[in-house]
Amino acid sequence: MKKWISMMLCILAVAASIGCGKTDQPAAPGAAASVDIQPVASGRYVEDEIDLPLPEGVSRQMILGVCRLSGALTAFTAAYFEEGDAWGFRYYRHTLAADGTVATADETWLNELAPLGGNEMHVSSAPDGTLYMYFSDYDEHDRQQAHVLVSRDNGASGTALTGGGVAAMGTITSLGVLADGSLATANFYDGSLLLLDSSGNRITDLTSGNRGQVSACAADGGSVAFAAAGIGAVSVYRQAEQTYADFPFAFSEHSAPQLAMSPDGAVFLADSTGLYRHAADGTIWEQLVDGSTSTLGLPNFYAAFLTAEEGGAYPTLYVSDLSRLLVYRFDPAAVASADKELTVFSLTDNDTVRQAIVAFSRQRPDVRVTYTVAMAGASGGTEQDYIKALNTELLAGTGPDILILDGLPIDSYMEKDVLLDLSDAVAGAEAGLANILSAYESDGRLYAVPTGFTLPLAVSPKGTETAFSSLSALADAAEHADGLPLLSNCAFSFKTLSLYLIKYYGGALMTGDTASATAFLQDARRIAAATGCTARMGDGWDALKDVPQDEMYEDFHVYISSPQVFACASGLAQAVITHPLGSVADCMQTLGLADRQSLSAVSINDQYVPTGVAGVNKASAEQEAATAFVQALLSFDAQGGNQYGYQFPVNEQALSEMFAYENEGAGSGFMLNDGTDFMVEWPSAAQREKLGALIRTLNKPITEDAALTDMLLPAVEGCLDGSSTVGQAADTIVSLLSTYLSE
Amino acid sequence: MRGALQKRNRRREAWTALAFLLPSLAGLIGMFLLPTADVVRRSFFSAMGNSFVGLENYGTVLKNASFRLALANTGKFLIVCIPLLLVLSLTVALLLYRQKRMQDLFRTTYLLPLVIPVTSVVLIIQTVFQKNGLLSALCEATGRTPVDWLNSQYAFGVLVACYLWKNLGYHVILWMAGLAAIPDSLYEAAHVDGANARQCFFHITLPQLRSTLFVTTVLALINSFKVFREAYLVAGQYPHASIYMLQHVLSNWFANLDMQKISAAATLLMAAILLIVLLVQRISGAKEDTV
Repeated sequence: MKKWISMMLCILAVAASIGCGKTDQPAAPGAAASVDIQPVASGRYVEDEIDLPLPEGVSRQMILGVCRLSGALTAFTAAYFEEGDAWGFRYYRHTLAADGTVATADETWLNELAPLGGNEMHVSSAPDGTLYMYFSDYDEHDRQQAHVLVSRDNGASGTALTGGGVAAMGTITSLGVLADGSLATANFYDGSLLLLDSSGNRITDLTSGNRGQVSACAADGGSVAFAAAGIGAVSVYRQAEQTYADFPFAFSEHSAPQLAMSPDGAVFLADSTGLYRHAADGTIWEQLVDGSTSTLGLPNFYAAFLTAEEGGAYPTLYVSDLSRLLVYRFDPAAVASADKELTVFSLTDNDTVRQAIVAFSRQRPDVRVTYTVAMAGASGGTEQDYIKALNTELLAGTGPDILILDGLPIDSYMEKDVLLDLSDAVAGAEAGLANILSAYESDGRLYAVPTGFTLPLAVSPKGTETAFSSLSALADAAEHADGLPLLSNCAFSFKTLSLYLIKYYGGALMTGDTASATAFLQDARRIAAATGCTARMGDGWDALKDVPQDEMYEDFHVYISSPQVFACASGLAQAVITHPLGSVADCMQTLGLADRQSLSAVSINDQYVPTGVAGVNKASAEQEAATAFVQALLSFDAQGGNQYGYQFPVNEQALSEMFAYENEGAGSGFMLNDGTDFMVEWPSAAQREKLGALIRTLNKPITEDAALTDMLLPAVEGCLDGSSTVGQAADTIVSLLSTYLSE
Repeated sequence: MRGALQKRNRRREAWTALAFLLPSLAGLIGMFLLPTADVVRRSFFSAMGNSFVGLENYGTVLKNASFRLALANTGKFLIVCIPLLLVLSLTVALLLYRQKRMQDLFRTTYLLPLVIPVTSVVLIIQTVFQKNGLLSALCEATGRTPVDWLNSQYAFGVLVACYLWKNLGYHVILWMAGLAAIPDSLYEAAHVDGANARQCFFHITLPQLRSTLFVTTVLALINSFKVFREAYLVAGQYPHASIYMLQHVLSNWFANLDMQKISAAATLLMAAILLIVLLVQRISGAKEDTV
């Protein structure tokens, strides 16, 4: 018996050593089960950003491509600029010298050959220095038409390729040049990869087998690498042998890959998950840069170009989207792997945190940041489930180091001493808005800091600004409005009005006594009556009768208060109360309306909504790194550069940048089915300055408690629609609040 | 010599028994006894377990208006539901026990609510009892004012009805098992002695069902705490005051990290339930002795 058992164990051991040993199957990065990523043995790629200077008279430019010409790194950009009353379009070449200086010049051949620009514009180069630009526009039949322009004299002059292969394509997404001058082109519409001769005539389609749907390609020498989604691999076509080698890769669902090749045949791939390399004769993808700790993984970054320089095993790589040019250089002295870990927790995804992770990872390579978004994906739990799970971890002393407290019981965490005092961290951080940063200061301790905020605005006739200072003032103003109603019912049904009155004026209810509840409900009823509220938003408005209620709700409550702005602009109401707004761009319609109708834009009782509220777990083993991360959250690197975000930054420099930002071409507005429209331009400098001044006066944070709102809403709504009396509703509210408050 | 052998055998048996018991014992200790001990310990400490506070948490909990409301509601629910369920289910069981034809069909029908998933039960409750639900529509059709059954004083009645509907079948089965265990010879002897049906019921059936009564009462007690699921899913964290149960307050406290209050409340509850179970056991056991 013992012999049998020994024999079986031997067989098991041998089988295990074979089964668990090295596999010959190439690995596919990105897929959790099949990832076989080799970490860089020593040193690592370090990210940096190259600032391309703006040409004179240009406020924004888009990057078209990067290549090395005559030994110098060269970036091509294009920009709109004002030309008298019209807009012009020009191309530029930025040549980066070794000392870091940048020389900018017009790109003559492109200005001549494609003066109007087009879609999907890319510039790339062949190893011999020949320049290619490909883009698409619309032909006389409104069909997309691809164009390829070539310059063989370093941009002095150029021609358009007129071969039939180019003419047959709609949009080229990617182009690679082979040693013999033939072109590999990925076609957007049918996902084909056409090989064209140097004149643009079709030679063959390289997507043999089921390799179809090519989203990107690159070429070098006699090889073409392309992303073959059909087989979940990057395929390399070797022209001389006419053979294919397939390197399996789990492509990201969120971003298209970009490819580059180096002369040694290595293939490089960039997407939102990171930057990878596959050696010509290798079997695995090596992750050079992790997307989660670099700009590549930011939600507002979308890799559009990838260029690999010549240079051994770890060449310098350039990745860019339309506005940012990133350079990845291998630094043999950099710490290859982090020896500390910071965990960040939030209920919902937060862009500022992602940006801060990138900024922090650049400063602190010794710390790896793991960001957990509890409610990401469709795992099916409720917010309460995730909060309870987090609380369990906190009680066990294994909670995350940094908590993004939006939706979490902040007051309770403050009371129970869960959070670290951040006074020193904020004092050592970049300058920020003191009136917002102090939102969670209590007993001389700063328990948490908002990384942003949103702002509810009221726009009303001059002299009526105080109408929004309290609910009774608003009710009085609504009742005594001359001629037009103060507010329109186009965004307010009984339910939505209740929702907003609870949000902006619900603090008065928190005393929990019947008198306060009765006063609140009486005022709310007066406002509802004066506004003409019914069970439907926009009831009685012909122009809005076909607009679905959920669409109106979304327009008002999620976006930029359009229905109310429309009502006021159409002369059907005097004032507007907005949803909390998060950027100058968000405020466009409101400020435009104020400007057009000579109205005042004021805050609602100096209130704001803190967002991205960050706190540090007092039980964290990495308190020093955690407070440094909070500083990164408050830095310009994390908060700047996003003029269209969902929250105003608290960083002074980022806020100044947002208010200084001009977008002269921008407009915002809407058109209804009956043809009525409203259109405003980017807020003027004076408007932005006024808004900036208003922001500095804010001093009352609105703490949104979804459970409390859900609890009170039916009672308030029931009172407004008449299904209960003020007394009944007040009793219900007091009963509910007494339970809530006594807990 | 024989004594030593017997002793050794007994010891070996004890070790064998322990070996068999060990997995479940480890589970019991790890998953139940240790956490229970930790809860009791935490009830004497501050929220994050940093400092000893003595009986302060118990004082806080007992003075807490929410806890008292929840305790009163839960007590009221137990007092109303458990006797109602026991009487109703026994009545149905007696009727079914005599009804030999289609007994299986009835039994299955009564058990159906038990196997319906909670989410479906919640959907049924909402469809029937919401302000715009079927019952309100019926009210409207008959000229009465529609009622928001789940957000009014009727909410308690809805919850009681839901509990009875869900648990009736299960308890009917338990009673029927108890009835089947009563020997027919007892009834035959009683009939020979001239006993009528009422006398048979009170002097044979009921006393013979005493052990079943203990089981059904304890199970009814345990199941009555599970009705929180329906109350929570139908009306959320803060339902109408009449159906605000102990589990609501405990759940909300946990979401607010009030671990000290939960621990004190849980310890109090544990003691109370233990007391009730012992009391029920004693009553049924004491009466059994007198039979």
